[in-house]
Amino acid sequence: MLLLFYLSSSAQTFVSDSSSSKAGKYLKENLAFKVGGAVSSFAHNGGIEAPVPGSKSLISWHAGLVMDMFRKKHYQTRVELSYITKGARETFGNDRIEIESVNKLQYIQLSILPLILKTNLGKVSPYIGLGGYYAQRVGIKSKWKPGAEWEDDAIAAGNLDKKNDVGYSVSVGVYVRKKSFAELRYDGGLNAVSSTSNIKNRTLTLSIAL
Amino acid sequence: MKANFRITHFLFCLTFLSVFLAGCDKNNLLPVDDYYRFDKLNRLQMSKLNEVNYFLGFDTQAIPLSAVAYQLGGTQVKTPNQTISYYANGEKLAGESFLPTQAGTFNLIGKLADAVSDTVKVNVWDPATLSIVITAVDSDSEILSNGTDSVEFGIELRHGDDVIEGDFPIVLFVNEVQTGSIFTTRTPGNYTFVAKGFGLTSNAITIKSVTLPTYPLVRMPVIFHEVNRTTLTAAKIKELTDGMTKAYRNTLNNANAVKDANSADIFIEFYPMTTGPDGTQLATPGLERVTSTNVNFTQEETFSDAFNHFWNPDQVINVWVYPNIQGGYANSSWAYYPYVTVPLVGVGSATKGEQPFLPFGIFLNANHLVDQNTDEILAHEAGHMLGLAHVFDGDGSEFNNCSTEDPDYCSDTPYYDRNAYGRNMPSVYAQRFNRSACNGGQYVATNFMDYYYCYSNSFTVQQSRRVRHSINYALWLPTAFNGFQSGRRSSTLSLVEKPANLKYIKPVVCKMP
Repeated sequence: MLLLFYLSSSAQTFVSDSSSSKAGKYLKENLAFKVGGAVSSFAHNGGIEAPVPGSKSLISWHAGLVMDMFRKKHYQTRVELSYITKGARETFGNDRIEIESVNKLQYIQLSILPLILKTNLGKVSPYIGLGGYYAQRVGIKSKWKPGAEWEDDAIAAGNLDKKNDVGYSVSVGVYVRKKSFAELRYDGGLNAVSSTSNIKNRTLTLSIAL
Repeated sequence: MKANFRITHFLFCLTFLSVFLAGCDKNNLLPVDDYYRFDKLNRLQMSKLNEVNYFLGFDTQAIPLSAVAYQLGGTQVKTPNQTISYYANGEKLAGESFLPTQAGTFNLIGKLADAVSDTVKVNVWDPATLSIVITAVDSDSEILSNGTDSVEFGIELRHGDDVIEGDFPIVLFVNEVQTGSIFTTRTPGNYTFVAKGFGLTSNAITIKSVTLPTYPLVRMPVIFHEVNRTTLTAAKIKELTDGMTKAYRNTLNNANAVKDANSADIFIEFYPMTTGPDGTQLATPGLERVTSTNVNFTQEETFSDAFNHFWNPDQVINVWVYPNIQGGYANSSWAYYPYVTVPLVGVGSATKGEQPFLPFGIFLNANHLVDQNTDEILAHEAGHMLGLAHVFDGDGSEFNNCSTEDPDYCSDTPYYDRNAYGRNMPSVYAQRFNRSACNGGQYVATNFMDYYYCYSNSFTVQQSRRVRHSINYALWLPTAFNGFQSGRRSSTLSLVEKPANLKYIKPVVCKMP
């Protein structure tokens, strides 16, 4: 509800600003390179919790190409093709042991996000987006720390056996000078990454595009 | 417009904040059972316990527990032991060990993820409810004071009538001195054994150690009835009776092999009969050549035919030498057990003065005069006549597996499964003389009452006692009990008449290789 209210108020603001048509012109069919950091985790029971940046989440990077399409003054669609590492850094345990586990799942991800922009703020244009993605896994690295040393974990890698992922994305960001943008995005997987456990990707990315 | 700008940025920041706050709810420590590494566990196998019995008050250490995890297909999955939750009778344990505090049987299992292990049991005992029982294995209450004859003790820890299996810190004492489970001595006397452990003391067993028995010498004449053949000579008969004498005087050892530790002199000698039923000197001492209209003989036919040449067994030992034995006994010799007036386990009883209702003697297969140690065969068959059974359960007709009762009633002769021995005959010749006793021990076959392959050089003390019982109380033997005067002179004798209602009685059949 909060998000819908924000989109609605932003759209009204853009319509009343006569200078926004000029800004839309610069954004039209804009192709850019995007790069940034990512914080990932697994949701174990389908929850929407977002990864928390820090030692308890998997921190990685992502990069790709971005194209804005169907640009209107306050609306446009963004299509992205990027490489991204998702996964989790987790600790399992009981009252006698704690076992750290790190799983890095590398994807090629195609995202489509309709955006709503607010263009009457001078050099910056905040936006918000809601869309989806499809990701094809191209690699996986798993390790665990059952004792003092880290060890490769082929068993965990084998159990994370789903090779593709689809999900939704929620994005907030800001265009600067109508060319570059910075963005914070939340990707929530809808498919489990394992056929034996209900584990879903949750990723928070912070990106810049030039 | 400025106000609108502030509202927009407030909402924008609120969106960021809500996303982060959602992440702050995350519980960092996830349950180990949710670890997807263990999703495909198929089997959890408890490791065998070092000891399945635990004695309260004596065992103080907790019992360590561990289990091995497997995936489908049997691949072992590395699993820290602390990830597994252990339970005793359904109650979760604090760690990877079990420290019993009360008596009972406890079923121990492990769980990890969706896998539940098999069950291992530990019996926790209160020693106050237990008892120790000792038994003398394969032995009566006597042993020889020769340093080799032995008595072995079995020690059992019991709960009521149930025996608790396992090795326990229970110590055997003889006359209050600690000893091993196998006891030998060179000092005659009484020895009292008890076992102690867990604060308990067993029943007491007293064993008497005695010196080797000695008996009055008994000498018995032998007559060979050689049917339809002329193989035997005076020299051969002398050789055979001398061999029998050596066997019963504990000096026959054709293979020069080690003798039984309990080998004993039975004080019996054999010699060729010198006179016939008519009182005249035999042309060949110990030999009567006879003819039969039969050329071939079944065992049943010899049973009846032997009565045609059956000299009074109170005066002489009859040995019928039959050729061409037919049927299943074609390669066998045989004899009959005695009948005694004072009971002896394993043989029949009869009344003194009763006439022979069977051809009591030895039936020697003529084939066994060639390429055989015939003296050993005759000593073996004479052993049957004198009350000895085979050391294993069975005879040439039928072999049985390990019996619960000692088949020859002599605890100083170990017995074995002759069927198993036949099935597992070693290819190495020397190993064929080894035996696996029914009580689990290994030994070398030396007893005259065994079958091939055997060194045939020993009768034991207990066998000597059975034989001497027969000498004292058996019918149809040339013994003082039956009016025979031991010595080299033969008495006047008669023939035994065939009973009118003669019924076939199966002998003890001894098959040779």
